[in-house]
Amino acid sequence: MDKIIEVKNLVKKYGDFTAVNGLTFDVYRGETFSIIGPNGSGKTTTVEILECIRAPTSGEVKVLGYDVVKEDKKIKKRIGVLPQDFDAFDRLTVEENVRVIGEMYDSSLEVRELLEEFGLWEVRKRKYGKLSGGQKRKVGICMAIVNDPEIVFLDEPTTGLDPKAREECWSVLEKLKDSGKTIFLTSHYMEEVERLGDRVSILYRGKMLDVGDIEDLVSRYGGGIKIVIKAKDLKYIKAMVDTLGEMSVDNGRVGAGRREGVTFIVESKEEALELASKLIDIGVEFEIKEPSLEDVFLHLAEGVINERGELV
Amino acid sequence: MKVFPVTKLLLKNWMRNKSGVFFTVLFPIMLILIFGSIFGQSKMSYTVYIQNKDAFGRNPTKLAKEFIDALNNTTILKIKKLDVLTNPKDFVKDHLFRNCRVIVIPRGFQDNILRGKEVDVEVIGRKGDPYFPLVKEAVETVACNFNLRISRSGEVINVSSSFTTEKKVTTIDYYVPSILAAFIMVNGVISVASSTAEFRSKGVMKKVMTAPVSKYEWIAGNLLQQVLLAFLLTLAMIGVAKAAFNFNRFLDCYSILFIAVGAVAFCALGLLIGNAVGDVEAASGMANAIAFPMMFLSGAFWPVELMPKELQFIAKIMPLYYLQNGLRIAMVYGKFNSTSFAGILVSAIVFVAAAVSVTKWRVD
Repeated sequence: MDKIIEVKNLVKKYGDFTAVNGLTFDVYRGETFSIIGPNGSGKTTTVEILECIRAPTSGEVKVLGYDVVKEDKKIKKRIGVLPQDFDAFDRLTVEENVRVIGEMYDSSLEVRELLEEFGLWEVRKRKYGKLSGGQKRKVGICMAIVNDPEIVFLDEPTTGLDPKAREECWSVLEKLKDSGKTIFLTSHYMEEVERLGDRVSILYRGKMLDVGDIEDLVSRYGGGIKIVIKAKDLKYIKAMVDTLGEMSVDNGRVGAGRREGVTFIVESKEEALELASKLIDIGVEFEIKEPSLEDVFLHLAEGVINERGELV
Repeated sequence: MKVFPVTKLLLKNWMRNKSGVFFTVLFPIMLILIFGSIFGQSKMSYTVYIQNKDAFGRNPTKLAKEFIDALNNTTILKIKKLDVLTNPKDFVKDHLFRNCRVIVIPRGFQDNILRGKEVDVEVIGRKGDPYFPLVKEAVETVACNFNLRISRSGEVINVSSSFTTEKKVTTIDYYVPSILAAFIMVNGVISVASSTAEFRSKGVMKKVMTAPVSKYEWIAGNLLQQVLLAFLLTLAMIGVAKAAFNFNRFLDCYSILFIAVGAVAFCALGLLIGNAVGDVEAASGMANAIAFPMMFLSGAFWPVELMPKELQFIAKIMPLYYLQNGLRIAMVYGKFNSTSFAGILVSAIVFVAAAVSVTKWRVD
């Protein structure tokens, strides 16, 4: 496959603090590559180095075959960027915002087509400052791709949006992904990365914990299938554990999820189905949870990322 | 070259900012209308300098003293003394904005009157001084009464007049270039500093930095925008001043040069502040702290010569002093003041160099 981004031993230091510590990865043409990690893990630093607006301390970084320090002008013509916490020009309309950025490039997409595709044509004359959060982010994405870039960098594209706006934004990003563009995404939302990403790099405290296909990482680190029995009454939970213990579930183990109730973890789908049928027989409410990227992160970083992007 | 897209972007952004448009164009026009209404049509002063050459030592002759007293007794003339060594025509030329006139009482004034000879009292003023005829008429009236009183035999004092060659200068002539210069400075320093800091804080600068636009193109786009806005302001102010106060100055190449270099200098200062101070409020505060003292101390609203010496020194280290002084001389007299041009040009070079140095095209 065609390598479009090559990063070898990337290090970025701010004084004595090492924000990015020896990252090595490649991104291939047409894939959606994600970096996931909590706040302060080095995601934005990494993506800004690739966008040629931050200089690396050491390491070799090539985008589209060009060095990010020495050949940044060549790179900038062929990439599109949605910066973190981006706000466009409040007083300009949707259409004007997209056009003025398009004019900074030698060639650009037809603005009308672009806005129609992203459902923004109806609000093209509305000032950016008057848009909803989701619409603003869609305008930002249009501004990122108006030059028809080969790589689109999206730095935390849905952070700060409400669930509805985030869902709208994901739909737009799925369209972008389907168009075949290479997407480089940073996020602290596991669901976002699982939904949009092909491969993911897990970053924590500037170090890459692992990189690979999402499915592969989940199968390696995700653990078994969880069956969660929801109950708050500890006596009831104890009785349930005793009862199920007598049911001798093969390879089953009792998890320690006190808040959720009782969690049973099994290795295969067959075992999960066996346990589920027994629970149905005795009339117990339960929920089946397949292993996810969150479990991968929990395994590798020994924590989960909350809504605000903090590791807890 | 991405300078023009940058300029277009900034101009559009400016046009959509109602308060920006108000303070950039409408507010200076309002000031011109206010200043013009208060000072432009009113009597500036009827100050008359008297150069008495008919004296014994320091004491004027009796008749010269009586003539001066008679002039002083009029209600419309305010008499001041001018020493005999000063060339009265040069004195009038040197006081361009004070509408001064000089009455010269010649040597032998008393002797000639007593001998029944004619005496010529010269009244010198600026050609086009709107109040010169009034002053001359007052002097003639005094002279006529004086003639009647002392001789009763006919006219012995003739009042003749002569003019220096300067164009007519009115208050509005002073205020149009001064307020124009002041608001070229305000627009450059305050609005550019604030918008630059705002662009940085909102991530707009990051977006522009990731486009194939160099920092030199970004800076040049900002400078071009401010030059265009300065000319827009110039045309608007001249148009309003012409319509309201019959202001009859036009742009010549010297004025255009001063306006362009001035806009570049102050825009660069704004970029310097906006980039050096990342926070929007801090940048705006710093820009105001620089712009307002400069506006009031540089002679934009009153002549620097009227200020105490210490303030005059401060005024002369401010770039706005050179812009407003040079622009006024260029617009009103059509002359090129090389000292003023050097002052504003050096400021422009220093501020542009500093803005280039401070503007970082990477986020480290």
